[in-house]
Amino acid sequence: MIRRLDPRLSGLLVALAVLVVLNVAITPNFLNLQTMAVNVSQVATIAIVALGMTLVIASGGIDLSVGSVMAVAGALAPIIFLSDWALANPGLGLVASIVLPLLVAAVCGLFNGALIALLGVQPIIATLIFFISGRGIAQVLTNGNLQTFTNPDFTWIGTGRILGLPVQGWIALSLTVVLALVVRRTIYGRYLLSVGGNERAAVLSGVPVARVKIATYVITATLAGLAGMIVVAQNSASDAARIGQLMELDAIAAAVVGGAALSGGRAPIYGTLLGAVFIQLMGYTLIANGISDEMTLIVTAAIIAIAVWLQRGRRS
Amino acid sequence: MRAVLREGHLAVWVALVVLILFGVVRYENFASAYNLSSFLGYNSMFVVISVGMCLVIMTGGIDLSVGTVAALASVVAAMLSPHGLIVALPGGMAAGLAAGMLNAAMITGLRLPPFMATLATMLAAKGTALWLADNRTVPVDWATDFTALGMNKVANLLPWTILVALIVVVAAWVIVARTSLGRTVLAIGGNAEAAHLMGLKTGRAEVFVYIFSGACAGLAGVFLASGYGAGQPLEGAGWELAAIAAVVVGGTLLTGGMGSVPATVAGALLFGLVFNLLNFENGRGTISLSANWQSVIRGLFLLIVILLQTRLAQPAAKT
Repeated sequence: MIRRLDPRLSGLLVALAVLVVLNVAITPNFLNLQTMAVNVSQVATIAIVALGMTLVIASGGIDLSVGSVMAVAGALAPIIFLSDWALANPGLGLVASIVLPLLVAAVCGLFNGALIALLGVQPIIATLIFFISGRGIAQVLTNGNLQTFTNPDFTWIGTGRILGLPVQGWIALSLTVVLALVVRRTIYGRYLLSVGGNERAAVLSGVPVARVKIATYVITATLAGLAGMIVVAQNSASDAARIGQLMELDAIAAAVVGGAALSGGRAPIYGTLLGAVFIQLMGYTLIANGISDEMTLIVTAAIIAIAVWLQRGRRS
Repeated sequence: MRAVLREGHLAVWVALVVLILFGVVRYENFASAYNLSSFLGYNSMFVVISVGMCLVIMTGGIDLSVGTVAALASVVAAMLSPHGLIVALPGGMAAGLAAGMLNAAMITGLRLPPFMATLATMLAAKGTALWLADNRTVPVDWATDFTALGMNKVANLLPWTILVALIVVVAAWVIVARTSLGRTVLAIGGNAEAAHLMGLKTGRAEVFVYIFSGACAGLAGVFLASGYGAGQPLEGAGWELAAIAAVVVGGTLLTGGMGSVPATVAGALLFGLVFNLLNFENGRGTISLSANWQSVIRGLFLLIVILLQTRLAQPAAKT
């Protein structure tokens, strides 16, 4: 594992280590469980979506619709567990309120994947459709209202703690490990990288390109749906207009800082997790030390540009 | 290929005419001076950013920064508005130009992918806009002539902004159709390497499209500040996608190498028209679609256009 470490990944690890040391030195209360928990709970949803985005980018595509998928899944969950049926059957209701939104999210991914793989629509355009209409669908579902609720069982996925750290952090971490194994050890993983690396060669060597692409968009949308429910659980409220807004950009940034190349063919899953953590920690460092939000945006922009530039340097 | 192109463009114009006729027949106030001027005033912003986006997409690139750059320019223009339009208009456009130069430098100088370079500029422009505006909307100076651009109308009908937008459209159209620069732009999108090997000045053309797009976004920002009386650092979210959608609806493929400026304008107007018609339909009371439905219907509209286009473009797409 250590021996196989990508130089890009080790560069990112060094940068992260520098940030941590810097924070220990200058940021008050940095080594504090509460600080950790806040950071973890903020980065977890971005990381979960970014993992899916990494797969899509590895296939040579992009998914702009993740934020809208989050909004749809996040709007749907409270609607289900607040329904009369679920109130009468709390156990089943809870299961349904987690499973159904994920299924709906998967169908959104199927829609994206079918447009891209079967009709040959460019990913950015195909996912733009659901980017535009998905949030509208979520708002129609909720009548544009903020839904607030108290449901301790459901909100556990956003507010619970295991060993002192937020549940969603553990979810993000386990998904990272699982997807890293999927990319490295499964046929799907091989196919994915070959589709992104050289699509024509993949077609000629008999890779089921269309199925691989569709599966990738389905996985990404399902992960986005999960992230949407976590956000809703975290707030004990669902606001269809806001859940997951600009998430596509955060996720793309995390994937790219983690070493994904927009040209496809590379799926640095651990890198993506580190990329998300790096962006989060950088933002936290700046804000905790009194630097304003708007400066943080400018610094994030610079980090993205530098990360992409470093990748180009390595390849050429 | 050329036949497919024409057919694709024809569809946009036919759709535009059909929707306009539908509106005129169905709603009595649709053809009123008030509706026409407010429609054109609002959409002039989208027309200019779509034209800038069109040129970028012709090269096979993309510019995600136009929305926040427009917001930045609106802040700059509002801050300069006490000096009058003569200073605030070039000032706002200069902010857009600067952002365009930043994009061009990253894309042609550092060879970053356009998607990522303009994504970085998108964030940086938003940060700069918020910083300049101190996290607030910036009121314009009403005592000067600055708001005349966005609020006054020629013959009480045509807003000045749409006339300025028209100048931009014609300029872009002439550049694409009649100059070697325009031909180079299309050649880059067709095959960048071949264009470069043929001795075309591809770097110069690429620099030009991003700077042009930045200036268009700057102009849209000036329209925004002038027409709505404030520099708005948080406006412009999603404008880049509206512009991309307009370009696509206008029949320009994102792979570049082809496309039409007038059809892009038609695409932008078509997109705005869908909204306008929905508002009228709601006004009649026959249906009551909440604002929430509008984006759903916009998305469906985009889906239909794309499905039609994939059928039209399929023979040409096999490269």
